[in-house]
Amino acid sequence: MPDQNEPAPPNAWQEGIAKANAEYVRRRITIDPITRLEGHGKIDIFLDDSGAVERAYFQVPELRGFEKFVQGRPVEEMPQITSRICGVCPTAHHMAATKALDNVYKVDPPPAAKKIRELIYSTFIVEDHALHFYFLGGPDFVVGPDAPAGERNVLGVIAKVGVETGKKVIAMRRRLRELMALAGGKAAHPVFGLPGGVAKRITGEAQKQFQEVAAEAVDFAQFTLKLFEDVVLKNSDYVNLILSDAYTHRTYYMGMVDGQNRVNFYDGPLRVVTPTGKEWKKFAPDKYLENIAEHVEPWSYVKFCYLKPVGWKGFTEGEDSGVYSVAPMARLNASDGMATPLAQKAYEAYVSTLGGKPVHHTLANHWARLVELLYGAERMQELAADPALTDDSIRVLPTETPKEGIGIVEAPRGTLIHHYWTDANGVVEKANLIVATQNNAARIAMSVEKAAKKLISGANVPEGVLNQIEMAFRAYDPCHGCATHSLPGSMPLLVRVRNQSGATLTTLRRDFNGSVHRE
Amino acid sequence: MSSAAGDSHSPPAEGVPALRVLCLGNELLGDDALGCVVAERLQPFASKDVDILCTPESGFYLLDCVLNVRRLVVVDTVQTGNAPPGTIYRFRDSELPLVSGGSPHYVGLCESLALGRTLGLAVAEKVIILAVEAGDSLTIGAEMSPEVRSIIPALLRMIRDMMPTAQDHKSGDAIVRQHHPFERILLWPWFQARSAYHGLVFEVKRETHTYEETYTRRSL
Repeated sequence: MPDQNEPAPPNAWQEGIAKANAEYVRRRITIDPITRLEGHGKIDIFLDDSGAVERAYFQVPELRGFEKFVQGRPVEEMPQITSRICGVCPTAHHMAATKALDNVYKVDPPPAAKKIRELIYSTFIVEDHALHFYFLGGPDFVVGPDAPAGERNVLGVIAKVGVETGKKVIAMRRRLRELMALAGGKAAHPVFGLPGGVAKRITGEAQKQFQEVAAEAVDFAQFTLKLFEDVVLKNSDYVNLILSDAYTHRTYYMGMVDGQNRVNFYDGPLRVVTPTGKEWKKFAPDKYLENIAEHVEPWSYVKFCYLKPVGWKGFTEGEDSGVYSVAPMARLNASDGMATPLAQKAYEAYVSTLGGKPVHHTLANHWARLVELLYGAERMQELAADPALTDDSIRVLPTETPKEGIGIVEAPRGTLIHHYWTDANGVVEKANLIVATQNNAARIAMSVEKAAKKLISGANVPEGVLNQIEMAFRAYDPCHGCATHSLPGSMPLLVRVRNQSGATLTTLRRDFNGSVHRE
Repeated sequence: MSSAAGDSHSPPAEGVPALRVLCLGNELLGDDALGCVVAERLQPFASKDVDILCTPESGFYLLDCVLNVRRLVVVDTVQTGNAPPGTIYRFRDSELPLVSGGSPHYVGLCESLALGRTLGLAVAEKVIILAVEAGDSLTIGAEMSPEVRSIIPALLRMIRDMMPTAQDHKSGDAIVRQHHPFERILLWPWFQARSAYHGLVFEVKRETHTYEETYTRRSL
């Protein structure tokens, strides 16, 4: 979230920005996904004097006014407010906010409350990861990157995996959502998180339901991994694509781990590994500001997170560059393994097939997601089997004076940080949110640049560049302004190539039916 | 609406509403609040035949919202940049492209519908989308723009016209309430008479009230 309290930069700085922008505008290519967020979610490709790609940037539309909106509101409202600003992963925001509240009021929830929270959160992860693999990432990966745009949609996925599998996914999802509604109040916007605990205990009957569904979820996750093996891994074209240089960046990786450095979504320190896989640092959530800073480029409102002690060295790879990445692949890189037996096996197969750790291939995120899917299901099973889950003690009432609190969880798409400052009455004075996409912003820009460089030279913009660039950023599943509803427009993708004086040389347009036109 | 619309489909199963108005929107995000406001204003018309639903969710999370209903009207805001804020677009789902957007997050309504149909789920047979061009919908806590606010009455009227009670007296070609064929013949003169009556009242009222007020009054 942009910090609106920052002092205005001096005039000379502003003039410099204007100059730099004008210079760039003269020679840039803009790719606009013209949908719900026209003018916001776009890719700018800048050419140098010789007409070669100099730099490409991916702009994530950002919600504005968050700081102002939350100022003066009771901090207890944050789990509801923050979950409402995102239409895709409300449970992650709800959980990060609830943990930040524990921290604000300095309360430690009782064991049963922590277990209930993690159980609901694991259920959410299983649902989100399953949906993502089959229906969101599937068009690129299961259907294939070279398939025509008209086929790279959910129907293409069903054609490939079969109607029965599709039905299975939908049925699994329904079961998981029913449980989330049962334990969390609502499936869409959970309301169970309170400072110091949860609002509702798990009854013996609910526990039984969780046990049943968790067992189904473990089967389902194993089935999905098998399917991935058959559809993706047995196709050497896909494997080569995963391993190709175009989708490879050697950066730092960050993820949450438990006491034995194994992946954890709900609680624990953040661990960062270097591009060679060595532990760079492991730090407690309240030390995030010492380790993560945001870099600002003059041409963009996007803030690029980087590792503060390493420093910002531009959009470059390697140990000297503070660029890091989050999300499933990064989590597996940042950990020493999985905490459950079946997931650990899947993890080992993943690592050995991809040539050892750390895995630098962005498209491996799809596979890493399935390893996590299995872990999430097994973790559900473990927690659901715990007799202490149904304990009556689910809340510790806060007695301390509130001041400041940080809550961090691993959202499906990566590390999510909530940080609030309040007055003595618990009224919010300031808030800071870092969402997964911000952590990944620099690496996304690098991926887009790589794809563009390979294919664009001056006015020569081959049609394939649309797919390739799109795939480069879709692999990260970037969050485009939460809570928006897209209706596909009549022009989903547009590339403009301009010469140095700003005149349009050529326009490449992909229509809604997938056909590409050149003007 | 085709003249066969009332007859070509089997009646909805017991307890399944004939029409659902699915309002997509987020009350915290400026013009995106439109869906929530519309849902609130339509609440008085909710019945066992008419289901009013409001959600800020997107993508495949909408799947549950398009099932187990016969006709679906979706209210949402869009930003095409091709028309001034407040412009109302009306489409059928079949007119919209089935394309994956810039992020997997963008997978939306049309793909959810297509998925449901492919898997043989009880997806709405008819889907009408009413999309309103929005101004700002990225500022948290912002008010709706006057341009978008001003079209709410017109939008409510369009939706109201699609509701069973507004339709079944219009021309007889879109009877949503199911009767025995014989019964329907018997009822026909009554429908016509009622239609004429309502039309008359409606015309008179239109001179002095907005559509929205007219509908509210009529429901009272």
